[in-house]
Amino acid sequence: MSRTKRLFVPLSPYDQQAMETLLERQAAQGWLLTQTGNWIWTFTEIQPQSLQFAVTCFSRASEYDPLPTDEQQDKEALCAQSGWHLAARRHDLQIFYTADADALPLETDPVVRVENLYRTMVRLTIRPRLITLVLCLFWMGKYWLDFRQDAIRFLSDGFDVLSLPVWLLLLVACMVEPIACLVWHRRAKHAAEESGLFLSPRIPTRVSWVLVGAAILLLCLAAFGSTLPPQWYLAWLLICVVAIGGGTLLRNHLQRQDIPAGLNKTATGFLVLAVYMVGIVVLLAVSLGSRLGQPDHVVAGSYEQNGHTREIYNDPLPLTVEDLTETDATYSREATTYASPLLRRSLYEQSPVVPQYAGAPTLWYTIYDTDFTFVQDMVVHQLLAEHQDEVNEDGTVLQDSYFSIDPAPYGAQAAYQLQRSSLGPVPMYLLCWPGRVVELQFAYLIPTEEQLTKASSLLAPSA
Amino acid sequence: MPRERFKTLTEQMFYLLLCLREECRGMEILERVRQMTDGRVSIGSGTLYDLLEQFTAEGWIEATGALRGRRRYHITEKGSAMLAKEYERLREQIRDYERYAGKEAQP
Repeated sequence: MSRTKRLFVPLSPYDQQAMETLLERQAAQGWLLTQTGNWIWTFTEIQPQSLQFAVTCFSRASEYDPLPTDEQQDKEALCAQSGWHLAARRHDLQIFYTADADALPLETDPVVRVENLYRTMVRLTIRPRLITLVLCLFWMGKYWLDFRQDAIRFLSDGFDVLSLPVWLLLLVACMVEPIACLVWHRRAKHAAEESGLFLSPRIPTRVSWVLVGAAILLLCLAAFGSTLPPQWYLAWLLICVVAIGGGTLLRNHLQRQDIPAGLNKTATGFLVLAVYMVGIVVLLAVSLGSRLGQPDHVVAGSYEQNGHTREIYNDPLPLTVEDLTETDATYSREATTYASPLLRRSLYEQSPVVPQYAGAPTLWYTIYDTDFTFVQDMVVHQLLAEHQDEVNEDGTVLQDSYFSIDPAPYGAQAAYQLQRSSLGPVPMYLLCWPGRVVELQFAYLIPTEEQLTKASSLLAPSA
Repeated sequence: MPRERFKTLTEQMFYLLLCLREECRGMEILERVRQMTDGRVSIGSGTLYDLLEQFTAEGWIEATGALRGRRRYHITEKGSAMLAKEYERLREQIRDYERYAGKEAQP
């Protein structure tokens, strides 16, 4: 019984010369190729001999076709008649060998060879990468719309900000190989037609893998920057692996059972989609049930309102109503923070437990912290733009806008107060310090200058 | 291959079409082309397979019989027209050569 061995061969189908050299060296050492996987190749022991190999691309079969296809067998029979015997085949490759050192090469017309290889490139590389490219563009378009709709929310979402470079990297990764294929085709076609030469393709497949690896690394970082725990992303990754792995197993099984390619593709696609959808539904159900991704609050009690039980929170707040005025109301103090490397957005609210304490002073404020001037400018611009005067049909102006006030008492760079037509200035302020912007709103409390100064001193970045 | 992007035929394509004016099998084609060109043009079996597939898809040749490796091929009217077009192109090249380089070559 002859011995076999397996080799890890990380070569792309376009590295034909490298494959032929490897196979000829193996044959000289007494090993003949019998099977080719994507990366693992199987050899059987033979008498060491000098064999000539020819690796040819086959563009007419897919990974769903039962192999060998009739077309593959046609080609193999034709080649066998001219002394080239099949060593191994894959859906995209056929590898032949001959012991005749003077045998006519399998591929003699560079123009035909270039076009054959290019057709394989279109099916194996260009088309799939373009589909991924469209997906990347779709996600980047979604990000752009999210950013346009609410830049502050987008910039303070750790996952969105960190996963943006992921899509950029994938976008580049999707373009590297198709561009290399197109450039090669243009040059090779010219060389074949004008000079009868075959230019071997140099497709930088490793560059794509490096970019994809970097994208995965960034995705992991993004998962850590998200409000959802890393376990959620691990579970999502597991669902993807199970869906794709299950699909691959089914595809290979149906292929071995000689199921037609169309049926195989449909069944495999259905299985992948079904497993993914079921997995995501289960994951979402578990997430909602266990309040995954919801902000953590210090629960101090609860009360009934309109038949609903509401929790009373006692989160630490940098500024409280009690810092500004005396009150005997019972309050719920709520703090929620969203953060990315670009922007930290902390929302604070101190509101009375209603209805017992309806009308007690109430406080809402949001603190925006950033190390980047352009981000701070964006935040201020958006907050000012959220309040715009409106001109009625009769020409009267409905005021709802911030107007500048003296920032000096607050030690700020800029300060604004909101004004409304019907009410005039209202107790809502925008205070800007270097690296920090605070939007502060009161209800049932018109702060005095002294109270406002105290509030700003507690909210200023140095506080 | 013999699509719009290839406005001309390579030598191997030309002789393949020329030899299929008579019906023959794959291996016969290889031998016949060699004979027709006194061994100057040889077609590799991989290239032959690709050409037969693509010419069939273009409707330039037709296949009869389904036995693996024993299918017989012959040229169609469309293929003959393409061959004639290529012949005209080559004749024009020869005429141009004779008109310019040919004169210089004369004593």
